[in-house]
Amino acid sequence: MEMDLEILACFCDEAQDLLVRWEGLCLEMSRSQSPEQFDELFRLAHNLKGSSRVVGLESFGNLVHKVEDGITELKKGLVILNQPIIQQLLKAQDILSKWIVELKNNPGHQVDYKDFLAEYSSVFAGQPHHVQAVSAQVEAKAEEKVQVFEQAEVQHNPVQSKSSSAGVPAPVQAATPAKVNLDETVRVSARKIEQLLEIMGELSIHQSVIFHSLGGIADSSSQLNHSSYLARKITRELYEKTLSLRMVPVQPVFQRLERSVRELAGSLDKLVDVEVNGGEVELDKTVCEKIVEPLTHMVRNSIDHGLETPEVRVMAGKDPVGKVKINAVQDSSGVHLWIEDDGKGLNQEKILSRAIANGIIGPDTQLEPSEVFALIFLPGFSTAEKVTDVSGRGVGMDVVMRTVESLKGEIKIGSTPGKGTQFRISIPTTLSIIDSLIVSLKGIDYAVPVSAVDEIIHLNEFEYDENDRMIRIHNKVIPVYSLSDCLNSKGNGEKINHKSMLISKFANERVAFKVDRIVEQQQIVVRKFASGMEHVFGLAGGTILGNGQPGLIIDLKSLAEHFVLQVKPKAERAA
Amino acid sequence: MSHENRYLLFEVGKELYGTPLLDVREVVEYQEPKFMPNMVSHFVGVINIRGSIVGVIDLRKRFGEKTDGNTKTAMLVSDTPQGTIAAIVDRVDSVISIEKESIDEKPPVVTSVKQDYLTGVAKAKERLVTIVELQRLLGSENLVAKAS
Repeated sequence: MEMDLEILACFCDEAQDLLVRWEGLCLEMSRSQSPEQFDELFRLAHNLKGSSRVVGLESFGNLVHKVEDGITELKKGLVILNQPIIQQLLKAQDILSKWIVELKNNPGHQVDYKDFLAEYSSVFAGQPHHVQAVSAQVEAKAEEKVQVFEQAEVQHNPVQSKSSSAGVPAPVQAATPAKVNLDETVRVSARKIEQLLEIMGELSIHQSVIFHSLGGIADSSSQLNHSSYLARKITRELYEKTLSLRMVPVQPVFQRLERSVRELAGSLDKLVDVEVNGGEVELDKTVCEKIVEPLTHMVRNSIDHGLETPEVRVMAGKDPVGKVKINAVQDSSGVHLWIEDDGKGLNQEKILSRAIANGIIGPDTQLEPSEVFALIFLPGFSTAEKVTDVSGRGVGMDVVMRTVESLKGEIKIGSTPGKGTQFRISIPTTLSIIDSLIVSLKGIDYAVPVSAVDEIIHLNEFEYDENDRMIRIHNKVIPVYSLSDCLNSKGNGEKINHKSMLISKFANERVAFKVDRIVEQQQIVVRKFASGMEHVFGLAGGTILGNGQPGLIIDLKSLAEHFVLQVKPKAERAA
Repeated sequence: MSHENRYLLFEVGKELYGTPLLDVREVVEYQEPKFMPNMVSHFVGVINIRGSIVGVIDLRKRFGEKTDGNTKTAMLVSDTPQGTIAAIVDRVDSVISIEKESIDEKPPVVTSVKQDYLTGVAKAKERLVTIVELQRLLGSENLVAKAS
């Protein structure tokens, strides 16, 4: 049968949304249960089945249909929900999700799910059927259904007591927090938003040109100035609204984390209680996609290396069940993602000795605790001999760091021996607008992301000779490079008079960059370079400056990294 | 009307060149490019075309012509496989039709243009026109200078 690809793409998008919710429901059910969850899961499966058959995916629909049969039994109370069933429902979700991903590339993709179905039905068949007792509750529920939420809790009590009798711990928790994404939505192609953003970017550039040139006209009327001011403000608002179109909640990401925590804890025989908060916090879609991998790695690390086994925990006088908290908070500076565990904490001596053994630091380096923790993010640190199946899957903490830095974010670590470890990843909500310093090098203006600058110093406050290659700041000697030499900047021959230095940091090593002048601070819209101009040493991209001129964004972080890594091995060998 | 045999003629130095019209997205007024470091020498910088950053290649440097005087008047903008690139030319002449048969393909002469981008030589307006494929010429070159 000839399948309409567009309709198939639509189906895939819809199915993915449904499956994300499916996963969320399963995770909720493993915490606490309510009849509404069965209803919703049933509706999900039913929708999925219906629409898959509409696009001609018979085999897909049949699988959903079989799974739906099981859900119907749950719904009718013929079978009592337990962990193995939740596992099976999650497994079904897994198979279906992967199927959808494959379908996007290959519309005729088929999956053999015979083995799964056998397993699935055996889990259901292995259950005693409590027909009478439960069906009474179902009827009672049906009557109450018209009523509102508060009542929902009342009627969910009997079910809860029932589920505890089945051996699933059911903490007292209402089934309501799930109702987050009920906002009506319109599906828009990412390309359209991209185009909209481009036009908006253009508009705000011209707006800013008008604004700047009005400043230069002495007799411009107040009415004109006022309108220009308002237009600028509205343009900015419009731009922000447009940007927010790309924002998605982090909930699906957190769901995946929670799931991998459970799976991993099970395979390591550790008891873990996961607490997830802040799933409604929104991030740019591309940021969300990129952050999954590092977050997963960190969570797995926490469980593998952070949390102790139940026996060890009991001996240390702790609750045998370890806690992992995943949390998202938004404030004016961006989004902060917290991953906390109450495990044994990071071992400073171990980190130090491994760093010395791997030649990352000299044998007698003195470091602050925070500097010691930061060592784990260095390339070459986690390549050590202990590569476990779990967290040593080729993704080291240095990759985590790199990803976070590529998102213009930072990671902070706090750790108390015996008490636990906290990681905080802070990332800006969007990558398209960044705060930057405009610096002048030989008469040409460049933008430097503020996030890459650790400190700015003015040279008249320090002893510094123009020919010096070093400067002493806060009792530490740090190397000095000329930013315009780094970029082989030709410039327009303006006389160089270094007045300021930007200090950037890579892995605790500070590097100073001379600039001629700091012009101003400006919010800039990052523009990607054409592919032929990418990967230019020292540049992160382009932008249009406030005066309408094209400007280049200097990648200060990578320059710092380059110089630190260039100098370091030699110094170490000498020592 | 078919665009297939229509060519845009432009001057670089004293030479007259032609490129398939469809290789050129637009012609813009000359604007001073902003220097971009660590690029090959004929890549002279970037300009702002309606909010996007576009790289600029100086065709005179590329073709080895002398770069004296301020005769540069226009830029030909082309969407190439490696992004949008603008090329500085001295003058845009006109758009004319040239029949395929009248292009003398790949004459065995030494030119400043690599044979890959060179379609041939045609005669138009009493002059010889070097026909090049602008899109390929701008799109397949290494722009980033090799690290020193």
